[in-house]
This record gives sequence, structure tokens and C-alpha cells, in this order.
Amino acid sequence: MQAELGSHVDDGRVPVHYAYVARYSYSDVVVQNDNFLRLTAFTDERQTAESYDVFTNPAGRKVCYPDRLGNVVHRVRVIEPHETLVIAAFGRVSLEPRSPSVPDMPLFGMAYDRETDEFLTPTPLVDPATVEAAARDVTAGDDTLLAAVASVTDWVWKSVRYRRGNTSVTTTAAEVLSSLEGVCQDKTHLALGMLRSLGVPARYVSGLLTRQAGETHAWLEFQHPQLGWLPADPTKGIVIETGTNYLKFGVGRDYTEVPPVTGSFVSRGHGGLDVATARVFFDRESITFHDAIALIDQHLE
Amino acid sequence: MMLDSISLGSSVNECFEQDGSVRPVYKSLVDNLEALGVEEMQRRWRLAEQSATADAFTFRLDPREFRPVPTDWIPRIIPNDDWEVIARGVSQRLRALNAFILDLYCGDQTIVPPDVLFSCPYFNPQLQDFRPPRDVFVHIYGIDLVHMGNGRYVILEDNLRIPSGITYQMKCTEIGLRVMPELAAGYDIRPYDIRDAYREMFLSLCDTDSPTCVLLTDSKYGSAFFEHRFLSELLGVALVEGSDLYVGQDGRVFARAMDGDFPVDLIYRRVEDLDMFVPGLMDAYLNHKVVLVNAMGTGACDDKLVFLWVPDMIRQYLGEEPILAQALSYDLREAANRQHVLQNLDRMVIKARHGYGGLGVYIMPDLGATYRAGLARQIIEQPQGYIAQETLDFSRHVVFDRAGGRMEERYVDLRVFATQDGNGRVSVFPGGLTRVSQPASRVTNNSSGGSCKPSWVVT
Repeated sequence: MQAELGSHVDDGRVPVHYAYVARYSYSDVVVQNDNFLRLTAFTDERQTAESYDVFTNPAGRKVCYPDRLGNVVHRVRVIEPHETLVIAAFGRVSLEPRSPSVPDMPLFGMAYDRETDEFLTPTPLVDPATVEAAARDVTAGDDTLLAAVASVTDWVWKSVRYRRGNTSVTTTAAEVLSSLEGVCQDKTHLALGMLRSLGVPARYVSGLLTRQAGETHAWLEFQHPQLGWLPADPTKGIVIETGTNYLKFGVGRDYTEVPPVTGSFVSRGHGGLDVATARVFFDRESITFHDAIALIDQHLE
Repeated sequence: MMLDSISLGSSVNECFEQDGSVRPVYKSLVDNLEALGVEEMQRRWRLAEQSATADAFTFRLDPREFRPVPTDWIPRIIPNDDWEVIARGVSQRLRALNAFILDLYCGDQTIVPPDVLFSCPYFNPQLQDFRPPRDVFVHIYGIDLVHMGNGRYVILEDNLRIPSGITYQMKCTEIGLRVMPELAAGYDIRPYDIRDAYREMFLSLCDTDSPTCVLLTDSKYGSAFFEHRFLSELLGVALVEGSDLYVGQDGRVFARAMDGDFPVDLIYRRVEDLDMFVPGLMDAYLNHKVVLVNAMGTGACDDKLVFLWVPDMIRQYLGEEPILAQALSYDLREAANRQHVLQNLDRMVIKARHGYGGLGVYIMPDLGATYRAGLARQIIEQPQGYIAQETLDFSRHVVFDRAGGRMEERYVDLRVFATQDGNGRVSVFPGGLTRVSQPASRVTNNSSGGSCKPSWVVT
């Protein structure tokens, strides 16, 4: 069986610019705000990060390093007292559309690289054992890798109602299976668990939809014994998206390893995110943090 | 003989040989205890406890509770030859750690993987390119050792942020000798005095000849308040809380006082989050308006995962081989290590990377199967959050059960303290704090209910 390919296939590289901005508000002065940002384009065979930076207001000191999975992390620590913190990230990426022919494989008994073992084991939000029965039901009759991935992706897309507000960053795959509702992150966790329970190494991807402004998006990648990591999006019911619709920030075993922003602050008050939005530009020559800041106003309009 | 009543476990006992005979260095002590007799020991134990209470010698886990540090007054004896090796090893390690932290913030260190360091909550990006006075980061260092027998000591942990306990050894040895001077008959005990080293350190770090130094405490309700008060008296430095300090117009730090505020040159800090206690203090520090002891930034080496690379630091920065061995430890982020540890979990110690005071330390041989399964899962789910060490069968010692009038055997460790001044001189104080585990446990931290013992280095 030949894979169903993504709809958008281009030749050659497509240079794009991205901008992300988030604003955090607090009820009292914050004296220390220390955040890890995974908001920089990943480099792999489908995209190359050409330049990037992050910026905060108030400004802080920062370090940049690759984490153990290869995600570019910026850590920014702000000690100027503030009641509002703006975090912006921007950069230039060249997207490389591909239309690989993906050979199908028998689902069971595939030999994966030992390196991928950790993408089969339980993680804080995804315990494969808790969704295994559902995975068996959904893939009954599938005996190849691509058929199983397609069944899982399609089933999650159709069965889990997209609904905001009822789930959070701590919702587990098992909880999504029982409520059958959630956002892209929840759908991705459920699909990850189902694939892992079938013995298919799978990982969480965080990034942007290039043709839809808004918050960050989540999808997954499953391991193909010959071709490595291939994408699938259980929120949109797409297997192996290879066009220019996605821009990847980072990967993790689940959300907890690749949140766009995570950190801590010191204040007598409380507070948190009040707006986060992002956009990808296909027609820009350059980008600055002003473009990122402007997204807030556009978003609020 | 009352000491006959004790049943010896399988691991080394510091006081007795395997066949039950008294080790040579303990012969006089055992004779001295025998001479006192059980009833007199019970009386002296009461006296010593009353002394500790009167001196407010406390480590308070619960601020509503006042109780002296639980202490067993039978001293631990360390022969001077063993001590000399420990002292050289601790000094070597302190110098390597200081060189590493300097390289981390001001250089381009290549020993520890960047994602380990930069993800550590105690790494502080604010300190990049900041050089503390005289390039000293580690002013006061506490290192936890266990004795494997035959004078062989092994390192379990480094404490470089705000290690507490440097006066506990002093106080508990002093009370012991005051109440039971007979025990010292036949011994020449090396004095434990930290005053000169501290004075030299404070002086060498400041630009002025008579610096004004203060000790910043978290509060009188903090667990180590005894030590803060005691140090302030011992060293002749004012004891202040965060609200006593402020940053003035010129960026200098001032302390409030009844007869007028005065500028402060050096803060011996016993708090971690400076700006929480004194807004603007971090800026003053970064602008060299005030000296901090310990320097900021040392916490990166309290990370239990960074511990794994300290032997490499010693080799790279000092060009020496480590004098003291450290517990064999595993980086669980590596698949092969994870598998090895999970297969041999029943003999491992699992430590949360950022735990302290004995919290987040799980000694598998002492825990049940359910607990093991839970931790195995934690390791699989969050391998970057833990390290594993081989469980060591380290030494035990005898403690006197006052109520029962008999001896018991408990695990002991040793926290040794060292200081480094601005001229690069390292002082390692003879002895250190011997901490005693609770029955049937190997965890000795005072925060986890352990007690302590006087420690003597004898020549």
C-alpha cells in the first residue's frame, strides 16, 4: 500500500518568517521570572532554521542551548520588577516540501533502533497501557504500519470532539479517551499512546500551522524503520504531511518535554498567560520583534 | 560489660572489629565509658541534653516546636592519618569545583553537557560574565562522606549553596566535653576552630581593611536559626533579616539600626532567593557594591547530576587524579544506564536531582516492592529528574539508648566543612558533623530526623 500523501506539494525550498508572542500579566510585582522557551524552529530534513532570536520585555539575561532531544531552548531570566511580561520569538526558516514514497511495513515484529525505545515507554501524560484496548479495537484488521497509523489518526480525528476549556496541560491520554474531547495537544497524546501500545515509537511535536494564525499547534511523529520520523496530525486527520503547512518548533516524549514556555516567577501576587498568538509570513523579506509585538494588537482587534 | 550487649550487623562498625573486639583507637574511650557505668551515663546524658536546651542548640523542623538537636554523646573518633587524606581530598575537590563554576559563568566549560547545566534551576543566566571578588565562588563548602572501613571514605554529595552545620560539630563536641570530660582521657583531640579562617576570608574579599559584615538569616523560625545566631556571635557580625537591609540611592547596601543606618560591605547569606528578601540586592551584587558569601551561582554544582562530572573537573582543571572516590552514579538519561538501573533497582539509591536535606533520596534495599515499582515508573517517565547510585554498605557506630540503658548500632556519615578565602587558601576543619541515621535507615540528614555525634580527630 502506498501512503496517502499530503495535499500541498511544492518543488524547492520555501523561505518563511515566523513570529510568536505571549503576554503574561500578574496581580502584583514580579521580582524574578525565569522561563525556558521552546519557540525556535527545529532543523531536520523537512525544514532548516536560518536565523532566530527571542526577546522579552522587560529584558533579561539569556542562554541558548540544545536540549537532549535537539530542541533549541532559550532560557531567559528577568529580574527587573514587572507586572507584565512579554515574550516574543521570531526567525527565518526554509521549509522543504517532500513527497517521499513511503514503503509500507508489516505492523508487528519491526526492528527499530534502540534509540527509539524511550518513545514506547510511559511518560507523565501518556501511558500506553491505558489506551491499548482502544488501539486494538481501532486497528483491528490492520497488519501494516501505515494502515495502523492511518486508522489511529483518523479515529482520533473523528472521535475526539475539538473542545477548548475542558482539558489542561496536565490532562492525560487516558482522560482524553474517557471524555473524548480536547484540543490538539489532547488528541496528539491519545494518538501517541495508541501508537505506542501497538509497538510503534511515536513522539509529540510542537509548532505552528503556517496557514492559520493563532496559538501553537501540536501533532505527532511516528517512527518508520527505514525513513525515520514521519509526521501525522490527529487533529486534522492527516497522515504524513509533507508540504509547507507545518513549522516545527520541537519534539518530546509528550507535552511536558516540549512546552512552548515553561518557568517560574517570584511574586506575592498571582497571574499568568493572558494572550499568546503566532503567525507565519510567506511574503516577508525580514522580521523583527516589532512584528511579533504587533501580533498582540492584531489578535485583540 | 554493657558494650557486650550490642549485636553487630554485617557492615563495618567504627568502634568494633568484626570479631567484636574493640578497635585500638577506641580502647581508651570504651574504658572511659565503662568507668562511668550505665547509671552515670544516663545522668550525664540528661545533663548534656539540658545544656543543649539551655544553649538553644536546635535544628527546628517545625517552628512551633523547641527541641535540642538529638545527639548521641559517644564521640566518633577519626585517626589523624585518615583525616589527612580526607582533608586533602576535600581541598582538591573544592578547588576543582570553584574552577568549574568560574569556567561555567566566565569561560567556555566543556565538561558537563549544556542541557544538564542550563536546565538546572540553580544555574543563573544573570551571572554570565560576572566575576566575583578574587574569583572565589565557593567560600563555604559542605561535603557528605561515608566510611567504608580501613580509612576509605567515599563522597555521596556536594553542598555549595548555603550548607548548614558548620557550628553543629563545634557545639556538640563542646557540650560533650564539658559534660563528660572523662571521656577524653588518653586522647589528643585536634581543635576545631573556624574563627580565623572566616576572619581571613571576609577580609580578603573586601577592598577595605575593616569591612562591615552581616549574616543574613531567613528568619528566626528557620530550621538552622541556632547556627545563624551562633555564627553571628562567634564571628562578631551583625545578624540581620531581609527587612533590615535595603539598597540605597548609590546602589550600596545598608543595614537599618537604631542609631543610624550603616553601609554593608559583605553579606554572609543564609538565604537562597536574594531579591525575595531584599529587593535590588542582586543588582547591587552584580555591580560589585557588596560581597556575597557564598557567591551566587554555586548551586549549579548542588545538582546531583552535575556530581557525576566532578572527577573530570579535578582532572581537567587541576591536572590531578581525585584523592577521594565518589559513589558510583548513573546518568539515567542514557538508555543503557536506565536499563541497568531498572534491572538492579533493588540495590540502588535513587536521588531526585534537585532534592536536598535527605528529601528525594530513596534507598531501595530499605524500601518495599510497591515503592520500588512506583520509582521504576518515575524513572521511566522522567529520566532527567533523577540519578541512581549503588547502595553503599557504609559504616555504623554505637549509640546509647538512654531510656533502655543499652547500646544500639546505627549508620553514620560525615559532613566535612571547608572554607576558601580570597587568597586561594583552603581550610578544612578537623572532624566535621557526624550524622546518625534513625533505626533501620541509612538516611542521616537532620532534616529527615537524623541525630548527630561529637567527632574527634585524634593525633
